[in-house]
Amino acid sequence: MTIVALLGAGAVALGLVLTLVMVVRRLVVRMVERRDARIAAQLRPIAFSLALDTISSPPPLEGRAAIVFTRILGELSVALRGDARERIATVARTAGLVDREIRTLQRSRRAWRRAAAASVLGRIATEAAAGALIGALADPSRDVRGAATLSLGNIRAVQAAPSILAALTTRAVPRAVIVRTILRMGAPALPALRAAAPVGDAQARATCIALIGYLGDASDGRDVLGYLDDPSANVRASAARTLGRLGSRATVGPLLASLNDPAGFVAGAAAEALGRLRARVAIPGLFQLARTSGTSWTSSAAAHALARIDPDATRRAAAAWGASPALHEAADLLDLGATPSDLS
Amino acid sequence: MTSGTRDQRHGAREYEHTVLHLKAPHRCLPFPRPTYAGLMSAVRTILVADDDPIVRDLIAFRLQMSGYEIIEAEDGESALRLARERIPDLIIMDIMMPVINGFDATTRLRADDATATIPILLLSAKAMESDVERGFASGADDYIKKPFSPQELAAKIDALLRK
Repeated sequence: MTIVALLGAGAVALGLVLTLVMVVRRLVVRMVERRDARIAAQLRPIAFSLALDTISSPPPLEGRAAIVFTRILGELSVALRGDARERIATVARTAGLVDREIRTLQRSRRAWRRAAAASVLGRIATEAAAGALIGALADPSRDVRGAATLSLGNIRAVQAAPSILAALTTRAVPRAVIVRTILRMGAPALPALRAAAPVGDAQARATCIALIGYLGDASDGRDVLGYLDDPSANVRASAARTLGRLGSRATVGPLLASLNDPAGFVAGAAAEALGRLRARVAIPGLFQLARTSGTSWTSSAAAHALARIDPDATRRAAAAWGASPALHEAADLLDLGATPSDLS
Repeated sequence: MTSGTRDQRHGAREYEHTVLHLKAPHRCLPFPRPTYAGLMSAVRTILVADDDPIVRDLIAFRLQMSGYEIIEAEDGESALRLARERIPDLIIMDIMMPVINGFDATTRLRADDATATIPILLLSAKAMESDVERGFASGADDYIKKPFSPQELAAKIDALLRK
């Protein structure tokens, strides 16, 4: 009984101590927030004046003021473009704020501080931070690696694209973050995408090929064609969609063959691509797929492609006896005034 | 124009003052919001509606340097209320705002006789052609995409106010 009472009292005391610790911690956080807000109120006009070129350099800043000021410059830089943005990057560099954040990124023991530094360096958009951000792609924390990846995209550091794309296979950075970063880098990232596509695992290959579809042009079609025979159905589907997006009519023949792919969603992706390419030669194959595919998505994709290529033939086929539901749907969409983009 | 130059000099003196007192946060630098009580008939009023405080403050700072009086709203509903109460000379409106978005706020302002003729400049990160089209269809006079250039913004404001 005494032991139980002692344990109970101990638990109550522990609970009280923990509550007290949480209350004190919350109060400290609130105080820091208030202090930062006061400092920010002082420093914002200076940051605005620098961005608007009414003053040329900030006052010497130390400690918390330097951190808050760098954060303000980062927020401001994201909102602006042109000369004002370049001025902010120059000021941050010459005032030593970039070096300070780089030191935090490389040396801080706390992952959230390193991630915050990586993020602010990307917001300020200075090339001077590219080396440190590439180094941060090997950081033990996934948050830091993700923040560094996004920042490399913001500063368009194309030299980092091979390392970033390698993370598609290692899963060191979330795929969505990599996709966003490469899209932000734009067409200059294409050589890295072409080099990375054959090397990675199936998911990496499919992602690289999809990105080539968004950033490339018809001349990339030849490189992508080979992936229509990839062992992975996901890669084959991604290649088919990309070929439709790239718009190279030279790829129509291999896409026709993909209408017979054993994976229904690959055949559907090929149908979609042929529809985008307005390939009349594909009409018989598309009719066949729209009528006979056991997968509703595949037959629907084939019927939509037909509607894009030949609306009148689609209406006639839908009116014929025994037409598939997919053809009826495509004809109805045409009657409702669907545009080609509605039929993708 | 003269008052704008005078304000800039005044602003520069304030920053020198800040350098001396940065380590004493209780002595805050006053945010430069010059008053033009004696010039009210000449001062034109601009309503800035944006839920991002740094964008709102930057625009206010830039326009106050040029001698405009600024009213700020952080959502579409406040923007509508302030526009009806104060009848500004121009409205700068973000699109993606809480409560009422910029498209709807613009449409409502155009439908109200009191605010129908106020020039409206949309400022938004929604940069697709369809967004720009929708902005003009809702009654906006001009459109600036975020991120924006302060010089371009000032030039468009001057042009709209000259009309």
